Amino acid sequence: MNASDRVEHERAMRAAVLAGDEAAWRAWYDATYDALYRYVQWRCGGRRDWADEIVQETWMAAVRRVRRFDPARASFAAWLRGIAINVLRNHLRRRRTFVRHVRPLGDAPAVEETNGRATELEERSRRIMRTLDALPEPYETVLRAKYVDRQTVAQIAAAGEETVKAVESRLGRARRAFREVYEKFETNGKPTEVSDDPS
Amino acid sequence: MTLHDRTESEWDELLAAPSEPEPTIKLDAVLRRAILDRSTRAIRRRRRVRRFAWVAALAACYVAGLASAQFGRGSMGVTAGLPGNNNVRASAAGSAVASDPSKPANYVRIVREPVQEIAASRPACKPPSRFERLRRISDEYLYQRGDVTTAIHYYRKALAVATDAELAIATDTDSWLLIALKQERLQERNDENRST
Repeated sequence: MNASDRVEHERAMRAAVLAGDEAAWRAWYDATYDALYRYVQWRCGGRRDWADEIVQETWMAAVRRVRRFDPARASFAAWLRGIAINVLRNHLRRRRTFVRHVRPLGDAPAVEETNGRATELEERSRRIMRTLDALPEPYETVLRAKYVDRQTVAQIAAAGEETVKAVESRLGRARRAFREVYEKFETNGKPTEVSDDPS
Repeated sequence: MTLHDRTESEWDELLAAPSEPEPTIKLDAVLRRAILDRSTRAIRRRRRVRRFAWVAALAACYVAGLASAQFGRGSMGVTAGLPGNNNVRASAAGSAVASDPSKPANYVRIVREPVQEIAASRPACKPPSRFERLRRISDEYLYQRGDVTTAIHYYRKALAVATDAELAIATDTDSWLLIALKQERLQERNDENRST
C-alpha cells in the first residue's frame, strides 16, 4: 500500500469509527494491536505489567481522541505510538512523585527492600525505559525499526528513502547514545527512585 | 556489569529482548479482548450520543417551528389587538382578523372574506370622461413627442366636449398649451355674451 492509498484507507476507517462502526474499529484494532504492544513492551524495558497498563490506557485515549487523528500527518500506528509515549511519560512522572513521597521511617528499610520486588531485572527494565525516553527521536526511531520491527538496515533505508550507509551511521550513533545514557543511569542515576508500583 | 565490560551482543540483547518470558497466549488474548470490549463500548456510546443528538436536533427544529408559528400568530394578534383595531382588514390577502370574546385580549381569529365582498367594499371607480381621454392624448403629443400642432388639434377637440367644470383652468394638471387654449375659449365665450 503506497502513502496515498494508506491515507485514503485510514480516512475511511476514521470516518467509519466516528460514525460508530464497531466492525471498522475492531479491524483497525486487530491490525495494530500486536505492533503497538511490542513497541510499548520494548519501551517498558520488557516489563509486561507496565506494558499491559500503558497499552490499555493508550487504546482508551485513542478511542476518545480518534477525531483528532489526521492520516495525512502520520499513520494510525505512528499516532498510537505517540499517545503511548505520552502515557509512558505520565507513568514515569507518577512513579517519581510516588517514590518522592514514600520514604522509609527511621531505620526502616527502603520500599524496594521491604517488598522484595526490586530485582536486578526490574532495575534493568527501569533503566532501559528511562534511557529510551531520554534519546532523541531519530535515534529512538532507528532503534525501534531494528529491534522491535526486526527490520534489516536495507529495509530501514528503503522505508526512509535513505542510503544504507546513512542508516548504518545513524544506527551506530543511536546505539552509542543508548550506551552512554544507560551507563549514566547505571552509575550515577537512581534507578531505585522509581517505584515498583506502576500506577 | 558496567558499560565497558558488556559485549556488543549483550547490548543488542539489552536493546532487543523483553526481559520477561513470553506470556501465555491465553493471558494475552484476555487482555486483548478486554481492551477491545472497553474501546468498543466507547464507540457504541458515541454512536448512541450521535443518534440522540440527531433526535434532539430534530425535536428542537420541530419545537422551534411550533414556537415561530405561535409567535407569528401572537404578533398579528398584538397589532390587531390595539384599541379600536380589533377588526383589521387585510384586503390584499383577502383575509381579516376578528376578535374572539372567549379568548384572551390579544387573541385574534383569522377569517376569510369572499372576494366579492372586498370588491363591493371598495369605492366605485368612474371611467375617464371624453374630455379627459382627449386631454391625455394631447398631453402625450405635447410632452412625449413634441408635436405641438397635433396637441393643439386634440386639445381643441377636448375643449369642444368639455363641461363647464372641465373648462375651468387647473394650474396643477393643465399644460401651458391647454391653459392658453382654455383662456382663448373663455375669451371667445365672453365676447359672444357681450355681443348678444
